[in-house]
Amino acid sequence: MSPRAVAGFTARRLLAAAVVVLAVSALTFAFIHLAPGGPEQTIAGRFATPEQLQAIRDSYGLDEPLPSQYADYVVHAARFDFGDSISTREPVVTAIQDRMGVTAPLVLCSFVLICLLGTALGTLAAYRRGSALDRFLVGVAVTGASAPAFATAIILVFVFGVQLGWFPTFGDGEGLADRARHLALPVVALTLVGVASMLKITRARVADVLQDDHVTFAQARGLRRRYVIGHAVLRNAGIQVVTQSGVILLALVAGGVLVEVTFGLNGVGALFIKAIEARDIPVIQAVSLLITVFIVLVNLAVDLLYFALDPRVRARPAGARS
Amino acid sequence: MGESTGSTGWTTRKRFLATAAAASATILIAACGGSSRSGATNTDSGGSPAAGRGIDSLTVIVPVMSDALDPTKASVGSLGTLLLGLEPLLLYGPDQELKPNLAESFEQQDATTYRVKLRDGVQFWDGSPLTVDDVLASIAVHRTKGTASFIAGQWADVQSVRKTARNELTIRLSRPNPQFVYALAQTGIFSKAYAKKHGDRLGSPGVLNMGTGPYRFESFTPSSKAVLVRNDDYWGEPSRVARIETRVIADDSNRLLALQSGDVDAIIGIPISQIKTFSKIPGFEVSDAVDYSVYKFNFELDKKPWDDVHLRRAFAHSVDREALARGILNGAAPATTLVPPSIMEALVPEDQVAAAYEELRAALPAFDLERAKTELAQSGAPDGVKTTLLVAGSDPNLSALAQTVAQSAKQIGIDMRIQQVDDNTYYNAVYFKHTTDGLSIDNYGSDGPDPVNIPNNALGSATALPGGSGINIANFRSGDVDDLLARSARLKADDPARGPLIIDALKRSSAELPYVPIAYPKLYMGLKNGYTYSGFNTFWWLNRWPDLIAGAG
Repeated sequence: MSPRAVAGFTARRLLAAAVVVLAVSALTFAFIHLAPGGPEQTIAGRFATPEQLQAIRDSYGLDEPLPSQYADYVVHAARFDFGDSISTREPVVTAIQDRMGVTAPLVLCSFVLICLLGTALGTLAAYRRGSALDRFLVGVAVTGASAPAFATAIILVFVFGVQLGWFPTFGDGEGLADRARHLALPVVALTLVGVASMLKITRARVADVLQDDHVTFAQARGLRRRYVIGHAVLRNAGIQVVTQSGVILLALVAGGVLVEVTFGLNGVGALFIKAIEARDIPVIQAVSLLITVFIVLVNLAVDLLYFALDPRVRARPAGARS
Repeated sequence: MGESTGSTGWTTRKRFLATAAAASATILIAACGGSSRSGATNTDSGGSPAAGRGIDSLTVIVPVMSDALDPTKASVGSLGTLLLGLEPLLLYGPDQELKPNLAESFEQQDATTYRVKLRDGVQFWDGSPLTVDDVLASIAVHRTKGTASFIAGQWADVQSVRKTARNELTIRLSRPNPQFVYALAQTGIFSKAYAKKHGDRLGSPGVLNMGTGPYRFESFTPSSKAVLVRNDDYWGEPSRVARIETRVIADDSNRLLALQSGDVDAIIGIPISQIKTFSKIPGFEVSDAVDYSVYKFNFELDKKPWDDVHLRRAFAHSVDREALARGILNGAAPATTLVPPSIMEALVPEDQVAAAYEELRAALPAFDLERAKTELAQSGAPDGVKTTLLVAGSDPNLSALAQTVAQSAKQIGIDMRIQQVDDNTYYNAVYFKHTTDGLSIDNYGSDGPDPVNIPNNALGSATALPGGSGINIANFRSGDVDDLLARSARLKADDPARGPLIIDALKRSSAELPYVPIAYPKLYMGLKNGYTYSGFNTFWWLNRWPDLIAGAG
C-alpha cells in the first residue's frame, strides 16, 4: 500500500478521532453539571450561606447557559489553556504534569512487563502445550486474572511491605530511586493481572500458528528455533497479540486508577477521582480529555501497526479499506 | 544462510529487549525528572524516638488535610497542619486555656470590643517583619464580601477590625459573641506581601505560604501530604521536632498496612470501625478522648410527613441508642442531647450536669417498639411511611447505624431505603439544600470548644434555610430558644450563668424533637511505643500538638 494511502487512512482516522474526542468532552461536561452538588460546596465548606455559595458560582460563571460555558471551554482548550483547579488553584496542566510522574512509570512499566512476560510465557506454553509447565503457567495466569487488582495489591503490600519490609507501604517517593521503590509493588500488582490475558491470547494464537504448514516446513528445513519463532510464528500471531496489547494498555488506565487509590499514590487517576468528588470541573474536563485522546491514539497506533506487521493488510487495494 | 539469518534473528531480539529496557528506563527518568515538587532530601520517615531531647522526624497520619495551604480553605482537622506554619494570634492549649501567641496581650474591653496588642520583633520565615498590616490582611480574607472562606462564619459577627496604634488592633463585634475568641485561635496569620505577590496561587503546591510559625512549610500535596521543617529562627521556644510529615491515607487497608509496617509514628483519628484491628497492632498503643461531636438523626420539621411530631416520636422510639453506641460505635456513650456532658462541664458543675442530663434523657423517647406503634397510630401516617435515607461513603458508621435502625423501624411500618452517595451529593442534600425526603443522619462536629457551639448551629434560626447556611438541618425555629442563646451570648465567656441558659435551650427544643441524638463518638489516637502524647483532646488541631509529643528518654 502506498505511503499516500497510509497517510490518507491516518488522516481519516484522525478526523474521526477528533469527532469522538469532542463528543466525549461534551457528554462529560453535561454529566458534571447534571450531578447534584457543585464545586462551590467543596470550596466554601459546610457552614457557607446561600449567598456565599451563589457568589462563588457567579465568580466561576457556573450559572451561565451550558452551551456558552462549553463553548468557552473549547475555545480555551484549543489554546491548551485548561484553567486552574477550583479546589487547589494549581494550573490544571501543572497538576497533571506532576501526577504523570507517578502514573506514567506505573502504566508504562507495567505495560512493557506485561508484553514481554506475557508474550514470552505464552509462546513457551504454546510450544510445550499439554505439558505440566503449560498447565502451571495457565493456572497462574487464571489466578492472576481472577484476583482483582486491589486485592492482589493489598496482599503484596502485606507480604513484601509489612512482613518482609522490603518495600514501602504507602506514598510515591521522592527522587528516582525512591520513586522506583515505591512503585515496585503497584507495578507488580498491575502486571500480574495483565500478564494473564496476554499469556492466554499469545498461547492460543501461537498454538494455532504452530500447526500451520509453513512453520512445519521451516522446522523441517532445519531453521534455528529462534528464527522460526521470530520470523514465522510471532509475525503471524502478531496482529492478535498487538490488538490484545492495545486492549491491555487501555485496561491499565482503569486498573491504574484502582491501584493508585489503594496504594495512596498521587497519580492522575487519584487526581481524577478526587476531582469528581469535589466537582472540580476544569480538572475533570482536562483528565477525561487526556484519557480520551490516549484511547484514540492507542487504537490508531494499533491499526497502523497492522500495516507494519502484516503484508497482507498492506497489499489490499486502497479502495477496499473503509 | 541459516547461520546469517540465525545470527540476525538473535541480534534483532537482543536489540529489541535492550531497546525496550532502555525505553522503560528513559521514560521512568523523564517522567520522574520534573515531577518531584519538594526539595526534600531527608528520606527518614520513621524517626526513632530520640533519647529524651529532640525528635528527628515525626510521621503522623491526620484525618484530613486542606486542598491548599490557605487559611480560607482549612477548618477543624485540617487546621492541625496549617496552624503549625501560619500561627494564630492566640493559642488554645490542651488545658483549655487561651494564651497569647502572636498577640502579646489581649483584652476584652466590653461585650463587643476586643483589643489585641501584637508582639514585637517577630519575623516571617523570609526575614520580613510581622506588622499589624499582615494581621489585618490575614483577617480580611475571611470577611470580604463573597468570601469563600471555610471560617467566614466565625468572623460573621465582626463589624470592624481597625489598627488603633502601631502594634495594636481593635475588633468590634456587631453583637456579643463569647465564641469569638476562638476565631482568633483558628485564624492563621500570613505575610500580606507574599499573598499579594502570589495572588490566586497562594497555598498551591508550587507557592505554599509565608508564616511566622515554629514550623516552616517545605512541601505540600493537596489533601494528601505536608512536610514541615523546624523554624530555627522562631521567636518563641524552639521546637523539639526537626521535621514533621502529616499525611492523609484514605484507604482503610492501606492505612492499616502503613501502621503495621512501622513507617508511621502516630495516627490521629482512627476510624471507629477499625479500632479493634488497630488495637492489636504490636508496638502501637491506642488511646481515646471525648469528641465534641454527636451522631444524630435529623427531621426536616417543615417537610411532610416528618412535620408530624407523632411520626417523629414513633421513629425515635425505634432507635436503640444503647445498642447502637455499644455495638457499632465501639462503646461510645449513648447521647441524650446535642452536647456531650463532659463538654458542658466546662460551664456547669458536674452534679448539675448529671441532674440536667437525666431530665433530658427522660424526655427523649426510649427504645420501645410498642410505644412506637402507638405513636404511629396517632400520626397522620398510621399505615406507615416509605422514605430514602442518604449516607455518605466517607463515614461507614452512618450506613451501619442506618441499616440497624431500619430493621427496627420496619417492624413498625417505617420503611427506610438506605442509599449511599458521594460526599458532595450527601452534603448538598443534607446540609446545603435540604433536599432529602425529610429524614437524614449525620455526625455533627463542633468547630469550636465552647459548649454553645453545636446548639447555636443546630437550633438557632439564623442557620436555618432559607437565608442561613442550612447547618440547622431541622430548620428548627423557636423564639424562646433563640432568646436563651442570645442571652447566653451577652454574658462573658466563662460566666457560670451561661450554662443553665444553654441547658434550658436544649430542654425546650427537645419537646419538638427536631433531632434524635444517638451517641457521642470518641476520638481515637494511636502512638508508636516509645512516644508519649500528653494532653490529647478533641481540639488537638488548635493545640501546638508536636510540642506535646515526646520520645522516650
